[in-house]
Order: sequence, then C-alpha cells, then structure tokens
Amino acid sequence: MNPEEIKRIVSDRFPDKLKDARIIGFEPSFIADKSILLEFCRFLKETKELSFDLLSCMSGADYPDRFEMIYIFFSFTHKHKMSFKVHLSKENPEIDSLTFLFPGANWYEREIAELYGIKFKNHPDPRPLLLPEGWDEGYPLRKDWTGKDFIKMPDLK
Amino acid sequence: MGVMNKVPVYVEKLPGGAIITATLDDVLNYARASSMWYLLFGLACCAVELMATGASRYDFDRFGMFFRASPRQSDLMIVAGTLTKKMAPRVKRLYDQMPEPKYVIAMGGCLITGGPFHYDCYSVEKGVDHIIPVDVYIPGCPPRPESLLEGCIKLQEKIKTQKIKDWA
Amino acid sequence: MNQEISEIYTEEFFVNMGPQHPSTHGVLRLLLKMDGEVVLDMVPHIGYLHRSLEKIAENRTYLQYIPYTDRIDYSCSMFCNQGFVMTVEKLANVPVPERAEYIRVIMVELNRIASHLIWLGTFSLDLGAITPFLYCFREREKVLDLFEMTCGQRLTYNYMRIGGVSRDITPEFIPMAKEFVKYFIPRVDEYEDILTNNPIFLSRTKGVGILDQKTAIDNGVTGPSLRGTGLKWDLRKNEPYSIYDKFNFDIPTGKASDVWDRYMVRIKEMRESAKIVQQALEKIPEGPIKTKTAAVFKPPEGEIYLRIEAPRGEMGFYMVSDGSPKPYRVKIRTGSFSNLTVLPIISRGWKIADLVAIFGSLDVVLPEVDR
Repeated sequence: MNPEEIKRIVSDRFPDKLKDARIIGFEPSFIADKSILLEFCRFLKETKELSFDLLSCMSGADYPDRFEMIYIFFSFTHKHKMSFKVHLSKENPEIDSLTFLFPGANWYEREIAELYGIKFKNHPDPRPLLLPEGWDEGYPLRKDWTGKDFIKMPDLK
Repeated sequence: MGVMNKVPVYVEKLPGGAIITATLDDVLNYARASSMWYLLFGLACCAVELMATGASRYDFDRFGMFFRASPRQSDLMIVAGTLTKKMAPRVKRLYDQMPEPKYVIAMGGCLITGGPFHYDCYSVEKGVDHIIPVDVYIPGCPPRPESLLEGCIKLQEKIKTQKIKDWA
Repeated sequence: MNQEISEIYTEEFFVNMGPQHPSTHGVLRLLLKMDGEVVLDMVPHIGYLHRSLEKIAENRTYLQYIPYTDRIDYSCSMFCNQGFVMTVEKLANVPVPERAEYIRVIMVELNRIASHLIWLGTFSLDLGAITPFLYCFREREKVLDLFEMTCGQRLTYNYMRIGGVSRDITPEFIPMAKEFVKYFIPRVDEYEDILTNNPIFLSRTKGVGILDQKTAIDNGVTGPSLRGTGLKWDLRKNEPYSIYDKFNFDIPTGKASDVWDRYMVRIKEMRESAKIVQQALEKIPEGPIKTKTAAVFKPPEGEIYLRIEAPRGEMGFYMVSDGSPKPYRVKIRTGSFSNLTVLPIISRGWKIADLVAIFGSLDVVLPEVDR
C-alpha cells in the first residue's frame, strides 16, 4: 500500500485528531493527540488493510517548550511503514502505556521513564532499567540537567 | 640453561644429582610469576582483545596464564573495559574475594581516566583506581595483544622484586 | 521407605547468575527462580554497561561522533559506522561515489563474517567444545589482518566518513581478500563437521528453546533469530539500501525455530557473506572514494529514521537535526535490546544448562543492550 492510501484510511477514521508531521524514511507521519493513543494503536494493529505488527522503535525527545514521544511501525504482511509523534507538556508529562498491545514496548518505556521523567499509566513493571540503584540526581537526558560528576566537554576555540 | 642464568643461584654438583641453593624470595617469586591464573573479567570492547590474546595467534598459555571463572581460584584480575557506577561495587566485591597475593592489571583507556567517556558522561566511573589498587596500566583503545603481553611481562618483573618480609 | 520420601520438603529458591559469569557474554545479571535444576521464572537486570552514548551525541559534531558509534557494538563496528553515516547522508542528501559503496559493502560483509565467528567460538565454548573457539579465532585473525591493512585498527575502526570512506584500499588488499575467501569457505565445512551432526550437540540443541513467530514479532525480535522462526525477511533483499541489489545471494531460514535452527541460519549466512565479498571484489570500479563536504558540516533541519541489517538484528538511527554542527537528538535502536526481552519467555521450564544454550543462540552483546 502506498503512503497516500494509508494516510487516507487513517484520516478518515480519526478526522480531527491528527496533523501532519515529516519524518524522512518512514512516511506517512502524523502528530497525534495523546488522548486517542490506545485507540489509534489498536486501529493500526487490528485493521486488516493496515496490520502494523512490528513496533520498530520508540523514543523521546526534549524540546524547549514540550516533550515528544515518537513511535515507528512496520508491517510484515503488507510491507509498509508509518510513524507518528505525540506532544506532551513539560509540567506534567504523562501518557498511556502500549505494553498490552505491543509487548516489545515494555523496556523502551522503562528506559524513557527513567531518563526523561515521562510517566506511563498502567505500565506493568515500572522499575528503573539502566541507571544505578538509588539514583536520585534527576533525569539525565533532559537538556537542562547537570550532575555532580558530569564534566561538559570544553569548546576548543 | 637460560633459566638458570636468570635466577641468582650457586649450582653445586654432588655425586648422584645436582643441588641448587637459592634464596626463598627468588624461588617463591619465580613460582608466582610463572603461573598466574587470571580471572575472566571482560566488561566491554577490551574483552574481545583479551580473548584474542588467549586464542591461537598470541597465546597466553605459553606464559603459564590461563583463565579461571571463579575469583577464589585466581590471583590476577585483568579488568578490561569501561567501568560504570552500577558495576563498581561488584568489582570491589570480586577483588575482596580473591585470596592474597593478588594483582590487578587495568587494560584500556577507559579504566585509566575514563577514556573517550570522560566528558559528557553521567554513568561512567572515571578510573578503576578509585575502587581497587592497580599494579600495571595498559593504555590503548583497545590495546593490541602485544601491548597486553608486554604488560604481563612487566607485571612478572614487578613480582620478581618482591620480598617476603613485606607480606608477613 | 516410601513414606520417608514423600515427607521430603522442597521449596523454590533464587539464584543470581551474576554480572561476572563466563557464559553471560558480558555484564548481564539474571535472577532465576528455580525448583531444583529447572528454571521457573527469570528477570534480567541490565545497565551495567550504560555509557550514555545518546547524551554524548548532543555535544559532539557529526564527525567527532563516528568513533563513538564503533563502541555501540564492538564486534561489528563497520555496521554501526555505516548506519550512522548513511543516516546523515540521507538527511543532508550527500551522494556517495560508487567505489566507496563497493568498499563499504566489502568491509561490512567481512565484518559480518568476523562477528559470526566470535559468536560461534563463544557459543561452542559455552556448550563445552573448546576446539571451535581456537579455529574461529584463527580465521578471525586473517580478517583482522585485512582491516588492519586498510584502516590501522583491529577492533574499532572509525573508517567511514560522511560521503564515503576515509582511506582507499591498498593494491595488496584485493588479491589478499580473494585468497581469504577461497580459504574460508571450506573452513565453514570444517566447523560443521565438528558440530552439526554431533550427537551431543544435537541432544543439547534440537527442540530446545522454541520461539514461535507471533511472540517474536510482538516483542520486536529481528535478525537471524527471527529468520530462524521461518519468516524470510532481510533488509538487504526486501528493502535494498546501498548497492545490495546488484549482488546475488540467498536468505537462509529455519523451520522449527529452536536453538539448532538459529545456529544453522548463522552458519549459512557466513557462506552467503563470503559469496557477496567474492562478487564485489570482481566488480569494484575505479574512482573517487569520498564526496567533498563542507569543513563545518551542517545538515538541514529535519528528522529521519533509517535502519540497516546488522548481524544481530535491525539497527536503526533516529536523528533530529536543528541546523547546527551538532545533532539535537540521536536515538540508537539495536537488535540485541529487543532480542533480550524474549529470553524469559522461551526459557521457562528448561534446566540451567539449557538456559546457557538458549542464551548463546540469541546472540546478545551487552553494549548494544545498554548503550
């Protein structure tokens, strides 16, 4: 299926909750509202014409005015791909967990939760994954973070 | 007979056999240096070069060294790879479990001062000598097998200068 | 006597297969819940090699970051280099000359052979066969001689650049590589002689650790572990990148998706990689090896996700650029991270010795998991 058809099917189903984004290589790409996340992913996985069954990658990003979550999907049956992003506020970054639909999202969400501070509702196992036990110095991947052992590389000018 | 030249001894020939007299220091040091059993402790990239040094082309076995899996049966710990803050207490615990006399070789730039991970890195312990005492440092990223063999030979030379009254 | 035996009290206990263990191929801690010798449940604890490569990327230029990509997975550094460099090239629309593409494919497929040789050596060492370990490392030294002749390093190469490669291959490279390929293909038969039809190996690996296709796809498993379940999917054939569409090679798959099938898939892949190298050495053209780029390289603003077929699965780079010489965000998606999530599911009910074989067949390297 080519990207226009996927875009048409998805926009027909969710007419006013999606905007266009642009991620090279994984088109079509959308910006979705965070309230429809679970419904949207269930629609992507279970519709026969789409059947996106592989969650290829999931990531977070920190911009000056918002957090972003990005999800990238691929389908083995139809061999097509798509991606979408969700914007989260800086004060209270919370989003639903996708673990029940895509079990592969479990560890990705644990990693994003401990490195960015984004909370995932209904996650089955919200323990930290990569950082040492007893880590209490904040969320390292945020742009404004510093720690006591953190030496920034000086600019060579 | 090259071996005999290196140990300061007095060789006397008695009818029916040969007797060697030497100091106890020399004999013990010679025995310790020629048969170091090292703990398999590869953490990251340098571990592959450690394995390659133990394999067919650069052989460790000709120096009398081969790997043991348990710290209680080894007397050398070759720490190879980056040390993170999460792993540091475990390294200390393994070092404490080794019986005396024990030696440590720090292999790779990451263990000397953090290597390429010195700047902008929140989870790396910048040097293994914050945790355990080190005898020989081997720089490189990763060091070639020949560098590791030279480090082992330097450790052997260091052992041969030890004295029993320092241990007792 | 019967009455005494029925009154024996047993209970489950917890065993730590700790960060330092000869079979865990790196620093991985497995907390096992056991009943006698049988594993009932397992929790993997990772993070002992977390070196924060993604935070480092935000303060280095694109050229300064290429040596760090080597350390994502040290046994296949050329792939990590290629993935990062291809992502930046696609974002900034930098063309790559044809000779550079051929050199990249030769280096990358030789690196696939070297990576599978490390896997085969350590896998058979775990199962108790020490001879294949020495044979595999003997072959690997020949591959490392070729790499050392070209870029000077044995393990972490830092060879590819944005727009091509950094050094041309020397005139002695092509005859030496041709001789290596001719020498190597009968060697794979030698490894198969020792292992494939050996009754001890078969009883330890046939029917053990079965991974069905639906569990694999749900958990994001890719690479030879997914091909062992029977799905014929390889990014080099199905979504060709670089110049893979010019070569003639096959994609091996398995049927029963047990440990033996995953082993056979990798053995056959070594032969296919040798075939690709042979074809590339015949057809390599003359020409430049790098397009000229600006001294301070600034790609346009935008986001991109690109994936390549690494020996352990799909390796993907998600990159956000804001027009400055340093990337804004780099996310590295590796095959071993998703492959490791499947380990608790397929090892329930097996004994500890089988757990070692199952873990070896998944081919997990810890720096890919922890980054």
